[in-house]
Amino acid sequence: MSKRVLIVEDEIFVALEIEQIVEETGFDVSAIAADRPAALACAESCDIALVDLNLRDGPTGPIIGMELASRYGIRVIYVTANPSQIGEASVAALGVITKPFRSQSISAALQLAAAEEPELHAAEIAGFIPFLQSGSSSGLVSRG
Amino acid sequence: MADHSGLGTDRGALLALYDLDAGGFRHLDEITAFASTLCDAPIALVSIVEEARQRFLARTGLDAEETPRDVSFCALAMLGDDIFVVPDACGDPRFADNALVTGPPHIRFYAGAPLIDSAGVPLGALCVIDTQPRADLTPMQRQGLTLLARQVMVELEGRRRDRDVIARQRQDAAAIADSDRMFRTLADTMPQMVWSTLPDGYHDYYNARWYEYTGVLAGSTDGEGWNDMFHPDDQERAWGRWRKSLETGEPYEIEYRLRHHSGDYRWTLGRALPIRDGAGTILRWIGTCTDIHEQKLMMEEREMIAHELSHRIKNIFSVIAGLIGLSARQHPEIGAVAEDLRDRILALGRAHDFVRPHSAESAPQVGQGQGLLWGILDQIFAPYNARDRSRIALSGDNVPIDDRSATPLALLFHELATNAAKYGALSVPDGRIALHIAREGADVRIDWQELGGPAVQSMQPDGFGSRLITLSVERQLGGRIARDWSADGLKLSLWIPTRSMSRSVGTE
Repeated sequence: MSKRVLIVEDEIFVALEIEQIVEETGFDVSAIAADRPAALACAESCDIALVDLNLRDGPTGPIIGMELASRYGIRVIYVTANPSQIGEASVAALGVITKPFRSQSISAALQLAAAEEPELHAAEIAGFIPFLQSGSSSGLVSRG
Repeated sequence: MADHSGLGTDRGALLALYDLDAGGFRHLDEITAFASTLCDAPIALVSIVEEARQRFLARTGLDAEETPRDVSFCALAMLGDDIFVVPDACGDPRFADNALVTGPPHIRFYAGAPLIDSAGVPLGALCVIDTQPRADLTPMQRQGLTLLARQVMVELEGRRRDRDVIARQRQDAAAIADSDRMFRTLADTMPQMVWSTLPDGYHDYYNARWYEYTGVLAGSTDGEGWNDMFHPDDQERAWGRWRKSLETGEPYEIEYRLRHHSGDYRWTLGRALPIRDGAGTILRWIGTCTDIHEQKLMMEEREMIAHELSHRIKNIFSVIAGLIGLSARQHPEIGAVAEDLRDRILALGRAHDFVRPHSAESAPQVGQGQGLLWGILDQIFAPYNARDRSRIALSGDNVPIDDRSATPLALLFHELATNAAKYGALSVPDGRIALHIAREGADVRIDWQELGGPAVQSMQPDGFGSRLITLSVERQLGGRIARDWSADGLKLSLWIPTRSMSRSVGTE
């Protein structure tokens, strides 16, 4: 069964473009959410989330990422033009794709997230910054 | 003599200077007592000649305190320079009929030394009187009487000086009171709140407006009580700023929320300057509080609108990029072109965000290089430098840019970096780029040097990208460009007029 991806993005055309990339990569899009309530409502049905930082209800991206990771065990990748805005919330995520993104960055990051043990050290993906973390069964803890 | 020269109409005013009515001439009594003994005369007087009378400031051997001026011997004695002697008044036609001669005290012998002030004006005489005629005083008595007369003047001048000092003090006090009244009137009619402190910061004055605004009782905010009037969240910050000014003497300026008598907190601009003496020592601090609540709210609203607008513009760039991506997926044959176009548009989006007008709140943090070339380069190179900041290393000068140059500069460096990522130094893990910027005459010279990349093909890898670079530099910025494909990698030099980089710099 292919991995299900939640897209948290409030710009519909950007979200649709990501949706196409996700499908081209061979994954399913479980939902597109434009704010925190919508994102959490769809959380049960997905494995990976691509999360923008500034959404319809404000800069809620970082907290959504934390909640998706800690409460639902979802692998989170932020997609943003302002990586510095992630702050403490990087603890819960695999990494960040910087906007503007290339479709290859999204594809490669998704494949990384879908792996049993994502090998972040080995990740050499243009436009993707991995957060170096030691894995644990429930969540991810920052090393830095 | 009869014209009483030196006794003009201002005599009353002149004598008033000595404050004779106040009395208390104890030393003069000692002088007449001694003059009487010295001259062996029963009567000795200090006589001051006024308009209509002569008054005796001190007297020995006589009860009368004054006599009419027309019978005065002293009025004549004071007009000479030396001692005036009448050996026998009865035999002198000027005095034979004088009431003081025919009646008590029955003057026969008179000797008077003139009392002359520092300006040469005669005030009266120190005289001795005998009821027996005499030829004259002895030389020692004359010398003594002259000396004593001088001592009388020392006493009188001293009195006059004291009086002057007191008068001046009164004048000064009145002037200070006037100036104080003027300050308070000025301060109380100002639209601002005005306050003042001692050098140690102790508040000892507030104008009427302060009490009117805060509604507190006069004097209740003296000392450090002012701080309680500030919003709790602003108190510590205000204290810190004020303490720093007190320590350094630097002007105090701060915005804080001040409690209005209605209970509301209103934004207020507080400022203060020290008043120093000639040696630079701070004597006082004078401060004002200006209600800026309305302006502050307006600024906040404007800031919010600007922020919202900028956010929307940024979104439009994202949406355009998304639309291009979506469209391209319907037409795979234009995929590569669309991807490039999409990236270019997003680079422009970054340039917009970098040079848009910012307020203090929305401006990127200091160090992000707002309005400077290095700042926009950081933005454009962020995707390439994300993991290793030295992949594209900047060196040299940092020069100002503006909104007009931001667009071509963003395109230019986006193309250079994209090409490097596709074909040049950034296409291999160990490749890097050295970017050096230097002012060179009226130009800014930029050297782009790719190192450690794949072997260079001397053909242009991307015709349109290269054309965009040329158009941006030559047509838009009015600069020139030199390319050199050496074996090490692309070496590119740009010369861009400084005035094209930033209008404000160009007009200096």
